Amino acid sequence: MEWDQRAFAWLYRSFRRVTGSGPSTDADVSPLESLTARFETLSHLLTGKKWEVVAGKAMGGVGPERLVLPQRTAWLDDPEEQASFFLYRVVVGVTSSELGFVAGHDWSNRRRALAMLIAIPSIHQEILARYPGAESLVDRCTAISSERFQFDEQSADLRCFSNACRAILRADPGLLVDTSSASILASELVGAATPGLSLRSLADTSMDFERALEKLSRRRAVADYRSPWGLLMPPSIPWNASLEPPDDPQTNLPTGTERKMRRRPTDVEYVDLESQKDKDNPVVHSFEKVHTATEYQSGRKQLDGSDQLAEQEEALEELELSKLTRTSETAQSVYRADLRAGLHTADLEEEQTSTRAHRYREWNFKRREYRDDWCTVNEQISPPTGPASAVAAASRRLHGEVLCLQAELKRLELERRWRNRQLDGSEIDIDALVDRQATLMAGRHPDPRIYVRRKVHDSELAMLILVDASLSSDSWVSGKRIFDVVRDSTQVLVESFAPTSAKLAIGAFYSNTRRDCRFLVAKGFEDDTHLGLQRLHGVAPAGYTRIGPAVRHALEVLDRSGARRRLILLLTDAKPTDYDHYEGQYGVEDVRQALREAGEQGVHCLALAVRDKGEAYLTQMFGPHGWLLLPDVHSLPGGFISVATDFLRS
Amino acid sequence: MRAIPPWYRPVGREVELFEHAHRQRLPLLLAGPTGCGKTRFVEAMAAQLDLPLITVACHDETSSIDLVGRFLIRGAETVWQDGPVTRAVRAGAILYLDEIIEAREDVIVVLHSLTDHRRELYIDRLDETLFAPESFMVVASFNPGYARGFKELRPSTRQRFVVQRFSYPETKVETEIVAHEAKLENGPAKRLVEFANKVRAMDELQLAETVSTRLLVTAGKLISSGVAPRVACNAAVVQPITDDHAQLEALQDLANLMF
Repeated sequence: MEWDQRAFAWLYRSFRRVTGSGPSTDADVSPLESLTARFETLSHLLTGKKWEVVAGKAMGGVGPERLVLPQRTAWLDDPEEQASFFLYRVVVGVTSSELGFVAGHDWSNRRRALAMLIAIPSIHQEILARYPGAESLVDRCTAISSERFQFDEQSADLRCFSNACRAILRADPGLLVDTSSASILASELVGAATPGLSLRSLADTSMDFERALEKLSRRRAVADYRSPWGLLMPPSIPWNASLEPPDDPQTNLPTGTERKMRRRPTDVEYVDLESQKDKDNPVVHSFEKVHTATEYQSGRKQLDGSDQLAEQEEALEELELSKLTRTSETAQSVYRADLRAGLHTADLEEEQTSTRAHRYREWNFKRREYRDDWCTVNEQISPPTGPASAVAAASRRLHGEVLCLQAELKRLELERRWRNRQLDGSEIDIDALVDRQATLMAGRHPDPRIYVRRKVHDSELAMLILVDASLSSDSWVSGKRIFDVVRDSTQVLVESFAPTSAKLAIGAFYSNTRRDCRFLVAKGFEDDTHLGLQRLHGVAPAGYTRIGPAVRHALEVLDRSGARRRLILLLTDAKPTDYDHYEGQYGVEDVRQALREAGEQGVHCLALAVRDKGEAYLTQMFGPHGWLLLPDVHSLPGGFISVATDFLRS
Repeated sequence: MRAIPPWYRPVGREVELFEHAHRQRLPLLLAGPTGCGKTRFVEAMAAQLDLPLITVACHDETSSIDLVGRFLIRGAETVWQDGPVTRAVRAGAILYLDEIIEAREDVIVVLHSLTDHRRELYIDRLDETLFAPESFMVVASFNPGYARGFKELRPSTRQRFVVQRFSYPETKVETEIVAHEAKLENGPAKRLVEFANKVRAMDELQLAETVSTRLLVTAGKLISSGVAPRVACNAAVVQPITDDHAQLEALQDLANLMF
């Protein structure tokens, strides 16, 4: 960078610091983030429709099915006051939408703010009629706002506007004592803002006042009309969704250096290209700023260890996303770069003959809804086998663990099936009865426990061992390769359960984006055990760890068993990742949701996490008793029994 | 002495259907969500028909011996003790199998001969066949909502029953029920029902079970005994239906707005 560029950048940054228009930093993070889910649920409950709650610049506003709440509420220092204020804004928002108040697309921001101001008394009246419990909330928030809200009163029209705000808040026209023309207008505004407003009169009144204001101020530029209620917004543009990144960006990278850009386009202006159509000069898309950002992204890291994050941030900050254009013209040409370099492995490129594709939904925790038909799981019925000698060698090596687990299973089985000498039971315990008679004859008090309780109906158990075969299991934990531990553990489980009546299957999974999730059925419920293990030895780690679709497909496979008690045993390094944004909280929430679905279908899930220490998110995914650390195969017998006892006993 | 019949507010033509099913000696299956009044309905009908009511709460461990009867040791004697089904047949009572779906299929099969035209019960341990008197009737209930897993009634069982489906009553009727049961004014009762309807309308909450009439009656009882409506609503309706933090708060916000 040249010295003049540096100087300019420094000046610019200083200017931004002084004006405070830079991106918000973590220090003044809005408390709104943690409240979004609550308010989305509440507005849905109140209206029966789905709402989106987002943080916006300035005081935000309300449009149909979209609430934009102020991100900065520095003028409210008490967190409780903030929460009440947000709640108030939610109720105001949904009520104004229920009353049918919507701004037109062509309204200016000034007019949108005026319209909201005029509509407030009607909205308040409706709130009190609908929600008797809201009275104290409305009173409190009106008081807070009129006390603390900072009105900017530099110009005549703003003074008029804020006077009107205050007068409406306190329902006191006496506040408008000033006789300036601005105040006269404001008092008219208060008069116009009577309860029982219709959308039509709202539109007309707000337009009249806007014209009057325009005459008054003789300024074309519209200053920031801040009212405690924000702006009345137009119906969202149908393809509004494309404002958001198509996939939710990850929110918590393990590196901890990522910071989310907090600036989001909330009050987007809509530009209709059809009206400005010029045949001779067709529109071309210009993404200069985006270019700047991507250039930085693909730049090289400096050898001295510095990076250009600050510059990249600036570039992103400068991106103007608040103007949206729509046209029916199709693009003449499209550049498209789907980078897949380096992500193929030999295994993925092989032509698969015996695959069947299944589509599954995925849980988007941010919007709290499913993405239907999102993931494609290709099921491969009989994957190639590995060497038989490897299975035999492992069998010899793991003999001790198998014996140990078998003994534990036997103990559980006996415990489960028969219980002698019970106070109550379906059968009479002959031994106990003879004892009792003898005791009676001897003139002593007999033991009343003379029944046998028996599980008359032994319900079938089907267990699917779900093996994580992603490339991450090719890494090492405490001196052992994760995939080896997983494979050995599977073998111990399979051999231990072989003499029992339980039905067993082995599935291995990895993924390569949502479009290509693989599920290899190493052993179906009816397949030979040895063949299954041999196939498992033929699996080589590849791809990524998309656990959600694997679990959903495992449910489908388990369903084929027809058994009453069904268990999915997940052997994994327990890090949900895939390179199309399936990571961080998104991945964790999807796994959690998939397990919830399993629970609803009566399928029990346990996870054996091959890693050396636990993480909080394991509990988040699998529940407090749904997982166990498996540092090596020797801890399998004891560990498995400790997590599975309750299930096996049931 | 005849007990006071329990209060029941008919919501459809279920009373009529019950009477006809009883007259025609047909078994009746009541399907509906928890807390919508299935059990109360059966109690009221038993009282109306002046028949004893024998209730079996079915569960996973229910065995056919539990239903039919068993031998007990009393002193040096072996005594036979009738199970509830046998007792109901002998007494010509109404046999109510609550949550029939929880019992294992092979246990239910014991009832097959009782629920079709044969109306008989064979007790293998006594080698005795009981024939049901005219007044005997089998009523079963099940909740299609939270059946664990894909547990469904076997068609051979289900098709023996006449099915009466229940759901939560419409606002006016439910208000009447809540007001009567909780001895509450009409106003707060109606508000409780409106609250419930808002929650019921929102499938996205993914609740295992939504707000039942029973929960509303509980909340109503708390209110009429002097608990603040917001507190009552939280303790008796919001807390029992979810553990999700955001949902709890949103539901509490809703309760605060409505009361």
